[in-house]
Amino acid sequence: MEIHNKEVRFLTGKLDKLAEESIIVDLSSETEIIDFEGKFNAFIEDALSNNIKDAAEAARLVLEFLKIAKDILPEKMEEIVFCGINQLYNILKNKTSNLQSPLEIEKNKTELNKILGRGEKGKNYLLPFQLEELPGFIVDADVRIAEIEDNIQYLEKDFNNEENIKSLYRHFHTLAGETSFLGILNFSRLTQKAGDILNKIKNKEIGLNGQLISLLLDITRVLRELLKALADSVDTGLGYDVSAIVQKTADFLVQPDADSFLDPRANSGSQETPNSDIKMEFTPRIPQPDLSDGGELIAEFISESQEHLYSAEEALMILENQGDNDEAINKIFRAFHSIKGIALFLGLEDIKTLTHETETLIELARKVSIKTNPELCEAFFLSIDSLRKLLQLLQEQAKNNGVLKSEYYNIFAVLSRIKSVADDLKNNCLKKTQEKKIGEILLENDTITESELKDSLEKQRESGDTKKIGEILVETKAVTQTQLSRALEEQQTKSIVDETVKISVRKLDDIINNIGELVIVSGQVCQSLNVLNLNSKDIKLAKNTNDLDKIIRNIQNISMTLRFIPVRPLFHKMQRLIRDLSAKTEKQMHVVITGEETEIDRNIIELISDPLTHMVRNSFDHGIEEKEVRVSRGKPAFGRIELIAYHKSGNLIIEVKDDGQGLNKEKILQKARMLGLLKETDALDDKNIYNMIFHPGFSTAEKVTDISGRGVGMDVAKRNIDKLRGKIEINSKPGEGTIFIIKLPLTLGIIDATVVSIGRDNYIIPLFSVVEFVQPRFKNITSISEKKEVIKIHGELFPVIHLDNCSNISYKKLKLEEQIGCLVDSDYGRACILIDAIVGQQQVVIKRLEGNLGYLKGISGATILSDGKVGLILDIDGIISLAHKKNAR
Amino acid sequence: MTNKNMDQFDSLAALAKEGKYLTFALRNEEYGLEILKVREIIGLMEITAIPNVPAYVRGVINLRGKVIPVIDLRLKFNLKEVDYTNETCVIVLNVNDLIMGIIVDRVCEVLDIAQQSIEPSPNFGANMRNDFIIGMGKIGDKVKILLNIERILTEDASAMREVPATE
Repeated sequence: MEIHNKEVRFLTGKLDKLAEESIIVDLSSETEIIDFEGKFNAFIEDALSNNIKDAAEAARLVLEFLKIAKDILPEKMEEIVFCGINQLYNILKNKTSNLQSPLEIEKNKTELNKILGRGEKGKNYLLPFQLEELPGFIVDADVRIAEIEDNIQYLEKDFNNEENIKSLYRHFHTLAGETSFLGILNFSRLTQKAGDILNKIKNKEIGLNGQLISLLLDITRVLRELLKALADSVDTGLGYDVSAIVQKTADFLVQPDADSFLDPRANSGSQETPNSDIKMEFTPRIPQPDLSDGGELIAEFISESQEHLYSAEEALMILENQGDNDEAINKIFRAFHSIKGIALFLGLEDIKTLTHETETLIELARKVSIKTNPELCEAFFLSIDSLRKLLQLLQEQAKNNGVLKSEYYNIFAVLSRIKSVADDLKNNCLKKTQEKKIGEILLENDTITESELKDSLEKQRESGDTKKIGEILVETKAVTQTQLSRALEEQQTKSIVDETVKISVRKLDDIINNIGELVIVSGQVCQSLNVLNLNSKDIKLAKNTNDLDKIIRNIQNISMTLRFIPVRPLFHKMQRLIRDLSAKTEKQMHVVITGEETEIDRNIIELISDPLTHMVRNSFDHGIEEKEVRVSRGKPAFGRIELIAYHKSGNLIIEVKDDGQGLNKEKILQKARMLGLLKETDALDDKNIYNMIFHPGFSTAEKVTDISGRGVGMDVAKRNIDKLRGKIEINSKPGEGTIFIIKLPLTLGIIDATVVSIGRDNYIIPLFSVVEFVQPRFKNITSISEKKEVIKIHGELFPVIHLDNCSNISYKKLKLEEQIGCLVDSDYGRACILIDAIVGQQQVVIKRLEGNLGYLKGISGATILSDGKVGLILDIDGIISLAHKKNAR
Repeated sequence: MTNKNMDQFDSLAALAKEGKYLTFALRNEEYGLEILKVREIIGLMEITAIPNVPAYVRGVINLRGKVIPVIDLRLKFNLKEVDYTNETCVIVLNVNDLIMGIIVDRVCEVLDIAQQSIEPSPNFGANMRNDFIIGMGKIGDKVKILLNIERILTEDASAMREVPATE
């Protein structure tokens, strides 16, 4: 930009006048200020007409601050004017000496901000009317940014699409205008700069290239973050630092040809057009994650990406099962796109490349039916799995301070697979494009015929414009349609996002712990009041304590459900598993899911995933017959596996139901006898026969497949469920199918328990261990040796366990007939434990033992009883094994 | 237990560092604990006994919702057992992220002990253990025994794990 001294001198003269005015003006008078502002505006006009843009911008800035000061800090106005005019003099002086200073205005702004007491980072605050407008703006801007992203994506494919460029320019420009009006200056700065760039592109002053696209994507990403920050809290939003990206953009404006200003890693991939050569060079690049922030960014990226992958997978399965659905494709696209964006920012090259290639594939997938294209589907699943793998490695790296111990995963095979699928598809698409031109509706309804296809191909030949097929593809993509649906969906998801917050599990646990304490303490307070008889004397007090108690219990109930999440992800994982198994074998399967919104403690979800996997595999492999067999038995060719979840009496029930051949009782019995688990003479009811399959190494499968048959799975499943204090049951009808019924507690932290008194202290026996309580009678008890007794209950004999014998707990009551026998179930069989008295039954919150007490034999944990004392939870299995060992000596 | 912790023991075993110490009494002797290890001091509360642990592990208490073990330091040091009085206190310690309580006869004061007043623990002869002691603090004409509380409490960790197993 050539600046003529003449113009600068002219403007300096104008500034002199303005400076004079500024001294005379009475800043306490409203009319005088308006007058002064008018003169200031005239100066801006002069600067613009003389093409001294930065002076105009600086002046506008001063005026802006002046207005803000007028509203919030009138006493600072004089200072603002003084400082601002000085700045303008400086700028003009630099112009005459031909000094370029792009940072000058930023510096000026910081100075002006300081005067207003806004601190270095341009801490800002909004006026009441601006605050009012903010929520509306956030919603609007969200939609706008989504559209900007769309436009950039299309631009990436076609650098010369003027429509997209214009539309981008419009969006940035509008955003800049709105934000400057609302006083969100950081936002406005960035969008202004972006608008400037777009303006240059529009006027062909600079050519669009891959670097520019990545810059624009960067800008959009920052805008998104900024918007999110604004939505979270106005203060963080206004304090959000955009100077880095603004600087980057400004640099670009000054020297658009320089290559070095961008991180070279960040732009290498995005310049690739989707048509790039398939045989690309690829070397895996182990990421060097920046962990200087304690890995927070990386951790967030990983968890977010996992969520994205999950939703992509979910949408993919919808597509596969239900056919075409724009919504679902958009969802997949968004998922990959979001991951790509952040991966780009974090310099995770491999993830970025993979997501980028997958995106290309998704674009192509929009034109064909995914349902009828298993290859395509497979490619998506492959990509999702590979990304998961990369994320896992990244996580490991983050945990080990950036060191990767496992072997790095080479995505080359995946990439070339995706590319080859994309290539096939592209060839296909060329044929199908014409179909769309004839009638998209026909195609969607699958009513199009072979002859029509031929016609369309002929027509394409007639038009003869083979060069522009790429362009035709873009044009026929119904751009406005997808944009619209995306925008609409954006709004929908927005409302969901508003209703949830992310919270660290630690904080949640803290809250739950404290509420537990609150319940106990309030119980004690109420009890003390009762003891002092205050409650009966003061009715109001009695009512208040009653209310207090009720509210606190309410809070406790709510707090328990805070950690609950629906079983949906778990079920979808199973659905995916069945899908993969189906693809591997010849068996085709319908999966029916019921009650996926049923909620359960998230810890349990994590722990139940493995057992459920084994059960589903089992149903798939052993339950469901081969297709031919099914047909010959008069069953539908498609197998059916149902996953059902529901709540029942304070438990979560999960059913895995198949319509296969059912369990073969004879085979099980035979095998059990062979393994020596049963004697020939043992008679078992159906339930116990079925339960044999939970024995380790038990399998009736004739051959071991890679899916199942080793007899390990069910054993693992049973043990894991036991660990969760759950129960598993099997129902089966030969020829009709098998149902596994898993019963789980809703949460790990609470158990139903019987409080018993033994000696000085109260102990807790988990209710699921208790079979019944009995009154011991001498006539029922037989001594085998000293302190070794058996008791006869309902005709069966059980060992009697004296706790004072196997541990140093001592009883209060010494006579056996005064004591109570508690018949318990354990891994080591049933036994009768003697206790002094039953105190009651209640739910108890399990507490960890602090210090070094984690390994106590006979004690599995502790709880706080209603009197505030610690109650120990008896580990029934441990006690019985201790007693057996004692007796064995 | 990592090497780092072992190193810490060794350096502590060498000699106590100057700084603030909480002093308490067992019988007539006064002992000192590094104040940074002390989480809080509470009065004696009801203790729930735990089966199958050494006698000096008195049991567990409810410290505002946390279940923490308490050790009777008298029993740990093989001193005579006495009835608890109004002065008996539980000092709650946070050692290597383990929260534990120790029962002492009474808590005395917080003292600033300078490096020059700390002397290495005397050698009692080959058969005597002195690794619980990291120094003797001379305050006026009195001597405070400075304890290596990590060593004392971590020893309990293994003791508690072993006892039930050998029962």
